[in-house]
This record gives sequence, structure tokens and C-alpha cells, in this order.
Amino acid sequence: MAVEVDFQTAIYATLIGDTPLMAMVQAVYSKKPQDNDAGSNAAFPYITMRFFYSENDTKSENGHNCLLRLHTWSRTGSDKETKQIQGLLYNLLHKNEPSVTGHTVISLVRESSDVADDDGTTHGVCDYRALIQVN
Amino acid sequence: MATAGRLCVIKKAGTAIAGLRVNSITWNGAGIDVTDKGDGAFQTFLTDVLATDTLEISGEGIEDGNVLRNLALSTDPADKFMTDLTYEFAADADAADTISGSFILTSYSEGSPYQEANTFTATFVRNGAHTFTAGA
Repeated sequence: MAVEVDFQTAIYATLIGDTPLMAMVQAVYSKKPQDNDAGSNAAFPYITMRFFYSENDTKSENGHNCLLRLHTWSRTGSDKETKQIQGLLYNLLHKNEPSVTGHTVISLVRESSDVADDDGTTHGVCDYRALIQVN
Repeated sequence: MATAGRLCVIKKAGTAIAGLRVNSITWNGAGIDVTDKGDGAFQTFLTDVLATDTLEISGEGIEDGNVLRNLALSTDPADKFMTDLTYEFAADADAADTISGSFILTSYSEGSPYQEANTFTATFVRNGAHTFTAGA
């Protein structure tokens, strides 16, 4: 299988398997659902995931360097809900390397966390860096 | 034709040392200076003789398997003396040029950056004459 599939599967399972997180958010998406008017009908708050990969090989093994970007979307009118969700994500992922089929996650750490107002929607962005070795 | 650097490997006992990203080879030689007044200030060396002939292999990469760490931190000096090291030059299709011989592990350093994988560098110095085998 591909690391794009296996790592995303592991992260998704970690997020939706956490009761406190799922009590706060409506859903976790890789691609949020689309309404008839081409907008989104996803209920707030929710999380979307993006994965950016670069190669991290040695001469004897293959590996990947993955930037996992978790977007948090909220419409309470304040930053608090978004920051609470970001805190739960931190507790779940920072230094907690998940099991990934066919791979070994060497390291998973948060690199940055940010909250911004996006035209009435509070938009949080957290970047996590994963070093992944192909088994 | 150029060849890919990833194909150039250091092997111990026939197995590529794990985790290497960069390996390099350095040869140095020095002649015997026999310059005299008759040479008109031009440096001149004894013909066909070298005073020193050294060969050094080094490598750096991601620590994986601990082979070199175990050798470096062994308290037995004999572990630093290797007769099973080969340097295999890159070759895409044909057999590669190889260097084999006795080498001494003379330096090893390992770094542990907080948010990265452990890295290492190692240096091997030739002990006696080596054997160079030209590939096909």
C-alpha cells in the first residue's frame, strides 16, 4: 500500500477514536462534503486534514518526511473552541507515534499552531511533522 | 555517463551499512622531495616512489542498526580493525569498481537532534595495501 493511504488511515483512526475530541467536533474530513450550491454543508466545528510528503531516503532504506496540517473550523465567534480542539489534537498526536501499516513512524511532533479569523469562521492551523520509515 | 550517488555504498561483510546517505573516499599521496640546486627552483620528486600513500573512507547518515556505534563504543581495540570492509563505486548496469582491504575505524560521532532522527558520521583509514577491482 502507499504511505499516503496508510498514514492518513492511522491519523484518521487516532482522531475519530478519541472520545473527548469527538465530543467537541462534528467530524474529521480529508475532504469536506459539498452542498448543492458548491459550498460546504459540513456542520461546525470540524477538522480537515492535509498531508504533504517529501522523500527522506537513505542508501539502504526508503523513508518519508510528512507535514501533517490539521485545519480546525469553528463558528462560535471566539477563538476558544478552536484552541480547545487544538489542545486535544496536541494531546493525541504530539510525541505519540501511531502504528502505520507497512511503515514505522520514527517521530511525530507538533511544529506550529495558529488561529486566524476567516470571514466569520475561526480557522485554526496546526502543523505536525512525521518521520516515516518504510518497513 | 554520470551515475547516481545512491548506488555507491560501503559494505561490511558484504552487507551495505544501513542508513548511509553520503559516503566519500579520499586518497592522498606525497612524493619524496629531492630538489637540488640544479633543478632551477623547480620542485622535483624521486621517481616512482611515494613517501606516504593514504586512503580514507568516510560516511554519514541516519543511525539504523547500530553496527558502527557498537564497533566504536566497544572497549576492545581489535573491534576497530576490519578486514571485511569494501567500498563499492556506483555502477548502473555493469559490475561496480570496488575497493577492499583492511581498515581501521578511527572516528565515529553521533548526533541526536530533538525533532529529527539520530545521525552519525564515521571514518575508516586503510591499514596496509588495498585491493582495487575494476568493474566490467
